[in-house]
Amino acid sequence: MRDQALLKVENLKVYYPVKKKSITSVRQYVRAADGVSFEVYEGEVFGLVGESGCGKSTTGKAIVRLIKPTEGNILFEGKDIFHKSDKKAYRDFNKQIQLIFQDPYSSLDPQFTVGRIIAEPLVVNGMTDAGQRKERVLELMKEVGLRPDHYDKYPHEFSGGQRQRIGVARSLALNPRLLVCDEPVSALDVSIQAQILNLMKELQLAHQLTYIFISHNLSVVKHICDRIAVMYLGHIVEIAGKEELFSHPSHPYTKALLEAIPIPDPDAACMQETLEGDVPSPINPPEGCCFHTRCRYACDECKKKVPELHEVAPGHFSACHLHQNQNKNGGNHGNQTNRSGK
Amino acid sequence: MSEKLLEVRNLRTVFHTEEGEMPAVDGVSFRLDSGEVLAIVGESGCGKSVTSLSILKLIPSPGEIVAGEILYKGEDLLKKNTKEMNQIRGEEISMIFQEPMTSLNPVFPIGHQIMESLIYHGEKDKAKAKARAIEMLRLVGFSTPEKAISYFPSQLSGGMRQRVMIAMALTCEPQILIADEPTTALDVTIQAQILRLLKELKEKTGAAIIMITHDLGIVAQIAHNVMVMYAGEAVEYAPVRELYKNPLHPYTKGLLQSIPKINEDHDTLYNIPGMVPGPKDYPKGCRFCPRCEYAGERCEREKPPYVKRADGHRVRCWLYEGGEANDA
Amino acid sequence: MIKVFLKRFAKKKLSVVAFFVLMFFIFIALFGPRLCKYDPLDQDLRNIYAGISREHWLGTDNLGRDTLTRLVYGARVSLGISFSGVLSGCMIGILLGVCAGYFGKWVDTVICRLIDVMLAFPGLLLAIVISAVLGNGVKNTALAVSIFSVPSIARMVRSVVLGIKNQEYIQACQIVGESNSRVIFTHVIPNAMSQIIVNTTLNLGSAILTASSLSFLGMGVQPPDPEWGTMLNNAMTVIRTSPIGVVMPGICITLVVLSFSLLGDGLRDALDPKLKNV
Repeated sequence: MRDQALLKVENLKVYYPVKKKSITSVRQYVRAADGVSFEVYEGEVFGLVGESGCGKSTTGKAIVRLIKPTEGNILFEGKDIFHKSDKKAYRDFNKQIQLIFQDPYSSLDPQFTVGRIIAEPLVVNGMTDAGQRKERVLELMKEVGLRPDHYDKYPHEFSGGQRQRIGVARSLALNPRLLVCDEPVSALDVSIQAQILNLMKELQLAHQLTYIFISHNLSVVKHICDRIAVMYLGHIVEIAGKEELFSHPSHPYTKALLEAIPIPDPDAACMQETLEGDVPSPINPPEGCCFHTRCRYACDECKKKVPELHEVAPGHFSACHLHQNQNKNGGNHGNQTNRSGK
Repeated sequence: MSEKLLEVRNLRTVFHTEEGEMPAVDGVSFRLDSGEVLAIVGESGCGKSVTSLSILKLIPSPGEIVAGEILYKGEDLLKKNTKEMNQIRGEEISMIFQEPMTSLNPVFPIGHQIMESLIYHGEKDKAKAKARAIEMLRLVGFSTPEKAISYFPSQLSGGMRQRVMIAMALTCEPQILIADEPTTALDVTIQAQILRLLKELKEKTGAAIIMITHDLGIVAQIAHNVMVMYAGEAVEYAPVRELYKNPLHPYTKGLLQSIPKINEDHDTLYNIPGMVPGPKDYPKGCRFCPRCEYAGERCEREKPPYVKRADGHRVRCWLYEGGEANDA
Repeated sequence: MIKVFLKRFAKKKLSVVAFFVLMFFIFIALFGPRLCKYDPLDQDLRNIYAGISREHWLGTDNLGRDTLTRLVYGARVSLGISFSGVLSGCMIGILLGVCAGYFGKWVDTVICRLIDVMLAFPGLLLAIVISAVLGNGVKNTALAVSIFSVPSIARMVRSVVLGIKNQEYIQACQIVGESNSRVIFTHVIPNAMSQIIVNTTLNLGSAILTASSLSFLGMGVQPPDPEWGTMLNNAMTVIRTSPIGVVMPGICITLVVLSFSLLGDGLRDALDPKLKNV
């Protein structure tokens, strides 16, 4: 399973130009994603976590080609998804990679019935026989827990949870192999959120799907993901397996994030040491390590040099000078270096 | 701690719509003591925000409070006229909202907006008002409040705006602060800052807080007592530890089980089947009945009473009716 | 959906009245001429400036032509000009607006500048210039009205499309590989339709005004063809002695313009997407 990556993102950069204040001023860019690299393997759930503006959604949208990267490559099974020379392959990526949207309200065309919404991808991709199409749509509806009599209804007749089911059915219509889920449950109430999360897990098992799960909610990510990347200001600061990340967080930002979650248990200790300050603007991100302005352990090196991702434990990567230096000096466990850092 | 500050009795707020009367809050009662943090929890549409707006009589048309009493220090707020209410709002009870972006006026500097409420509530001396505004901004964590008073809301981040909102709400030293989802629009690390600030300010000012939220994590970390609402009704009330250790109502149990927890592992999450009914299709008996796994025939027919149990635990469910129910 | 729309529209009493007034005028324009016993061009010089009588219900004009007959034929011309003008202008406006809003970038810049230039002329002056260049007559007046209505519709459509383009369902279509033309015709335009209908209705009213003004100034429909603006112009000189010749076309113009604008308001409220769930 680990042999070849299904999706490989290499040094992805997405810069948005900012409106110039005057003609003479230098054009500035919002660095939404600034050198993001990771691999996703077949059959896993890969989590992208971070706060608003960290570039997780931008990365997700680049993977489904809604945004063209400024620099870097995205390879699906070794083939560049932005390479247009092979027309058929280029079109085929639409079938292989699909997106589930965050907002169940604006992601469904209000003028279409549920049946038409789910059938739309099929129509566009050449399923011309109407009877066959309807059969497939009903099959999909059943799979996501919608009743056949919902077929002719309009989206506004449904609640948020059911709308999200419609969205899931639509994204499954083309039998994709990779699903990018952009905050699929954050607009939903807790009890409904659990329903959708369970549905997504079931579907993953039934169809051997691979998910890239984008969320700001660490508890949800922990529930559903196998491997997690933590993002901050357009950079990935840490990647690790779920167990490893939550038991031995290595990067100071990951630790702060974990600390900040209110745990639903009155006796649990959390939110003791909170991060100070705000996330800096992505227009002029801090030099060196992007987190140094809020980091408790920041030293001179952090202000100058951008830390690279390096392995602190098998399969556990972290981008922090703290551990890098410790490693050079002979320490070889990310976790130990942590403690010595405190 | 035990002095009674606010008591709401049988509050009923309805919205008059094209399709008739929609009860958004239907017979809610609770009390709030001085210095207490009461959390009102529920999913969207359960009536928690309308409850809080009702306390300040800020229900927008076509909504109307049709029944009940809201006793603040023994006086019924529902009997007060607009002028008296304006005195109470801000000075005695004040409120912060979910969206700090839209709750601040974008064309005035924040210092001006804080002074405004002071001057409205009787401060004549402008210099004093300004000094107070600076003091408040320092209190909510601005490092250079003298400069900050001339900032415009657009120059501040979401977290900073929420701090300004809190400063505005607390300038007149209210007895009660109602916080309606104060951190929902914020990131987790900023949320942690704001929650810590609220805790600190409560210690400093002694104000009681009514915290409206859907996040059971926040409730556990900040509240003393919790009221769970479902479909316009209070279904359970308990001290926070009691509620988390020993939830009684099936809805509360379901809610607690359906959140993924950072410190535990599950394969599948428990989920409550179905969805929250709208006001026009509330069931006749217990409103949770169609989604409840323990529901019996009686639950469909009759509405359960809101019974009081030991340790101040209250619950609205036929399962806990005690001896009487078994005899009947 | 249609039921909800009718229910909401029925609540706006004034708009319902306006709708029936317009229906009446359209009916007159279509079938009125068959009911008239006079020809609008027939002169009766023995009977000029006649008052209200059994033969001439609304009197006659300076050449003894029956005013009522001319009003009825005039309705056909006035409404015809405004409908054909606005509808054709609407088509071009939608095309421009959708392109500008959907494709953005340089397409948007070019189209926006074009619209700005057109809007920079005082509206009536633009229409006058157009008819001066193209010449008079019914067809050219319609053309002037059509060009006149393009920029406002294009700009409205552009802003609506900008809003729709950012909705996630448009992105969802792009992800499954829909072509731009399919996205535009099956998703963007249908969702913009309610606002286009409202605006077109409001535009129809102002088109009537433009057409009549042009004719009144002698730049539009030429005498002896009956048109409300021309009739006004014709009867203006004798407003003191025979006011009915001025009053009647005036009332017609006012009623139609007012009705279009009331109908537009009613449609706007009934089609408001924000109220869809209520």
